[in-house]
Amino acid sequence: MTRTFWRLVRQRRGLLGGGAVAIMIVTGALAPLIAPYGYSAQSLLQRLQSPSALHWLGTDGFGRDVLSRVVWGSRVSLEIGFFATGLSLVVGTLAGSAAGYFGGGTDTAIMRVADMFLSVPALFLILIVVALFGASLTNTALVIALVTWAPVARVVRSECLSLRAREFVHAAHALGAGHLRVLSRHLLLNALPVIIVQTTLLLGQTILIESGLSYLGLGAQPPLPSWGNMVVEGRQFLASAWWIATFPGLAIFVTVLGFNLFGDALRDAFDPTLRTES
Amino acid sequence: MAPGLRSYVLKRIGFAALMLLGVSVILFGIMRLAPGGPEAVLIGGEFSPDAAAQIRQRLGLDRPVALQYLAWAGAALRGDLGQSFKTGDSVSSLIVDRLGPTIQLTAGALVFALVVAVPLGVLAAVRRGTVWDSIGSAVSLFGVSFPSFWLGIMLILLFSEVLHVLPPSGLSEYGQEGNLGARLRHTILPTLTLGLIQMASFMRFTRSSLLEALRQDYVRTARAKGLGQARVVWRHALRNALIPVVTVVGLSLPTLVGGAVLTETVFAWPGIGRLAVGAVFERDYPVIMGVNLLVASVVIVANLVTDVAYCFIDPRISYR
Amino acid sequence: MRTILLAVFVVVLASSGAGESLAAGKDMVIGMSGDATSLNPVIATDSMSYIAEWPLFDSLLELDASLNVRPLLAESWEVSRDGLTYTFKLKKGVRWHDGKPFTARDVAFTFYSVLNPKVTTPHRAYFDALAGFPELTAKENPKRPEELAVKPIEVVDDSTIRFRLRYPSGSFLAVLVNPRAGIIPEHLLKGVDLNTAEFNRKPVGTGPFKFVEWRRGERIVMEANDQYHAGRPALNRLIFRIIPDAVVLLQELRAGGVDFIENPPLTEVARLKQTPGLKVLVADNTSYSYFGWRQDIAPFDDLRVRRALNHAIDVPTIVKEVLQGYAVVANGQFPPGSWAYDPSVKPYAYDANRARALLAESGWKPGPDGVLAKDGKRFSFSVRHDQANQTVKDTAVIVQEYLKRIGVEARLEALDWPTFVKKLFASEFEAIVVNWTNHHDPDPFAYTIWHSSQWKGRNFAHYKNPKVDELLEQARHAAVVSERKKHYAEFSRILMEDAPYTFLYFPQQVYVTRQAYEGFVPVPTFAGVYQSLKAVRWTGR
Repeated sequence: MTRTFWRLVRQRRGLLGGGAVAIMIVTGALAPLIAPYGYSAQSLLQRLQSPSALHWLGTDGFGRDVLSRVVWGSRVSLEIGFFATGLSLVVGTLAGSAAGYFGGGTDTAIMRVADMFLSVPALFLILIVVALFGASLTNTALVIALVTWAPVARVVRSECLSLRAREFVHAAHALGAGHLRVLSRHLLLNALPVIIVQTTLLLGQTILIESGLSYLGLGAQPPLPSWGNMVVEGRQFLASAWWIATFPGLAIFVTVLGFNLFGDALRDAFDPTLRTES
Repeated sequence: MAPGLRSYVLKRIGFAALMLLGVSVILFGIMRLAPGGPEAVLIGGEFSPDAAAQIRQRLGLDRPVALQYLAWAGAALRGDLGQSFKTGDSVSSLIVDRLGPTIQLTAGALVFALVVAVPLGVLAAVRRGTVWDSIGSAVSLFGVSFPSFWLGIMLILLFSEVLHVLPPSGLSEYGQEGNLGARLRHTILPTLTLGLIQMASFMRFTRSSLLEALRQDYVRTARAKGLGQARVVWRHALRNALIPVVTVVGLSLPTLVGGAVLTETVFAWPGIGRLAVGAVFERDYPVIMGVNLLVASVVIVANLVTDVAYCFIDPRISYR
Repeated sequence: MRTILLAVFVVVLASSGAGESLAAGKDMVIGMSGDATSLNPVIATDSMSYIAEWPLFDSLLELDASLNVRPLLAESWEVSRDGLTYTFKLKKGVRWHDGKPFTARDVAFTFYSVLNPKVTTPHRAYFDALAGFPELTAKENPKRPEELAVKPIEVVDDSTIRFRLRYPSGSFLAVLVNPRAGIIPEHLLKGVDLNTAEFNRKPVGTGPFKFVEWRRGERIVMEANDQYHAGRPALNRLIFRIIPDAVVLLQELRAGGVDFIENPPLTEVARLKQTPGLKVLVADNTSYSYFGWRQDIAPFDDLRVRRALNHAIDVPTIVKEVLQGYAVVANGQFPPGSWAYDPSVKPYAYDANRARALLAESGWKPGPDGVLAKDGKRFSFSVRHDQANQTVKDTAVIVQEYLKRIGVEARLEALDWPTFVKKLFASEFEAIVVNWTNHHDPDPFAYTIWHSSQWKGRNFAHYKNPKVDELLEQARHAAVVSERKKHYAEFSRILMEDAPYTFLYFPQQVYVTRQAYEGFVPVPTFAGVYQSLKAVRWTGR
């Protein structure tokens, strides 16, 4: 593990990506302390002000400080991101390892269900559920997880498939270990690197999906700021107040980029032979 | 065709039909479970519960859900996807109408993405460690991190609001539908938005899978045998690297047919994506079911085709 | 040789003449933010359909700029002394778009269709005053018109029609106006199920414009009716383009893709005014926004609480800063353009301190988290609203902020329209922010919203005040305007005292169009400007 850590740190990407991610997470966690104004503090007389010393990123249509809202928005995006990713990971890992380990009928059944989820376009499914049942944070996260668990299961399954044939599994069985033990202690532990890399990429993906949903009017509801709904609010002011739509979108971009960079670096750090970068 | 292959295909088709069934049941169930219905949208502001009840009855929404599903499924099997609750037009004609703009957009984006991504990805893999490689991976990493709607809005900001060289939205100017030049100008920004992001993800795949392939034993053997670099790359490695690329193109097929919902929304593009989104908000159940059925079918068929294609690309893959 | 020259000369003359008459008129492209559902005035109830129907169908009467009625298809009328019989003389020589003659039978057919319980139309309630209304519209065993002793609608002859009421109603004439009372042709629709008729997509009316085509989700095209009884309109064609995205609509206006739009984003209006070639039209409207709540649940059942909530919101600032002044502060149910409007009724002044004092008086004390509390319960409630309406959403956000400042916690719940409407009419809400379109006559909405018999209808807030009930009934049954005005004035006063809602504002109609189009008359009722499309002309400037 420590060797991995050092390999990670030595890469620029690892540092950059990890740094961006860390900054975003800290920002979200400390939002109440960092944000100069409240996220819903309106000042109807200060609407649509361009960036200035008082408001570094300008104000929006209600006179609210854009910087503060971007800071608070990271909370919403990260919250949903982590929740959905966690759920997706749990379901995906369970399904994928069961499929990979037991093989045969279980494998086919689970993979067919996964295929079914993959054949409906993600956004449709999410849209339908969230639009019809309400756009609460929980609903949104749940549905995003529903849609993203299948690729996770796929990846975990192939890891388990390849690991299953390895000798240490046979050895474990010979020593009398039950299925569950073999699965949890040996297979999953060895599949951990793959799972961790998946996690970071998944986090980036769920944040993108969530912001897309917010853009369509679902997701977090006003006045709660989420980067997606800030962009859609800012769209009508594009010609006169471009900053309202630009900065939240930039925040999404930087966060997702950070996760992707970090995930790539992680992947290389775990197994240098697989390195895809110099 | 090998006998194993034939039975494989048949099995897959069987599964595909089963999956379509499953998908349609789930969607149907979800929609009926939701509160409210299309009558509210049809009546608009002067809502009255009496009128609402009458409309529900007329649309057949007061029958038991299972019966409604069977009626829909039976008609769908005969090719009749029903009528839109909102407009009364046949769902199939609505879809056909919107399919054109969507395919125009997504096919254009796909072509753009492939044409740019594959050569660049190859270049980055082959010239590994050089500046090409760094640029390539940076571009592709950036590309997959953009939210598509934000990219679209930024492009509109730059090219339409600031530079005034391109129109901000829509299929074409009114009255100018025949004008090819005008239509082309309108297509540029949305295609670019969709294409840039797809290009980035294709590039990553091409590059990493090509790198993987280059490392394989058989490539080293080929090199050892004294074959030139170009021959090695183009004949052996590339062919195998194409498998993941085919995978990823296959994975982007739902978008191709389902319409890039976010891009279409940003650019007010009259495609299937917007049709579906509108139908969801208006509780136009037949349209929702019809669009999803179409997309699911395309995806399932595409998966089947790509899987079969694999065995021609890589003779090592066999089927149980 | 000379014959040829002569022939050429004649041809040139003829074609130039034709060219000139074509260039004299001009097309106008109107932007709509949604598609119509059906082009049949008896059936359609959504605002887009209303707009599109107006040029196609005529009604018996129309409105002038002061919301008084004047003749359209009806040339003149007489009212009996007891106010129960209205006899209309119809214009002669009017033809349907398909050439057939328009007669009184079409009028009878139209309104009997409205009364027919098999036809799905909420317009029915507007004709409550007609004789036999309860019997004709009964849910169980409705009677047919032939079975009634007193016929509510009688065709006297081809150009005379008579209506009989069961009580004198001052609003009867006002109800016979577009867009809800367009006349449909009997010869095309007799015996047809109006709910699903093909006619609804290919309408035939007597209006100034004839239907040409309707490409769903894209456009509705109409052309001038050469045979229009009031003279051919100056414009050639009307093209309604459907563009659901407000931002795109504005871009299209700027780029020349549309010539006329309604309700642009208000922050852009100042810029639009200064854009050369464009002009902005403003008119009062009958639609209004309010912040309302259930009257029969705590804490809203306490009068002091309701008044406090009224004092807490600074409506004039909202109107000035958010709506850019394009709205009128509301003092009750009636818009300023209506004769029932009483300027002496004053809304509650913005006074946060008074609000806090009133709440303290009724036992609300600040809790540990800053939110007021009483008997262990926090002053917190949900505010439901339509998520698709941007103005309503913005208003809700602002209301929430003002309430926060006095220690009241309002939780916003944006619901999509179908869900919202369902909960609204089932009275499943605590508070709401809504924007409704009023009728230009005070009776229809005042009665259905505030009368205690309507708890299952539009009185979903469950308001009940016997004095108000009495006043509304008296106003409904009075035929003379001055008498109705008195009742409504009293009604408005009591309503403001009871403070059942915080009446916010009446947003004005704002339209943007090209300088070159003249002749618009922004009648101060919903979509009133579209009534004047027949008079609009292109001046070529």
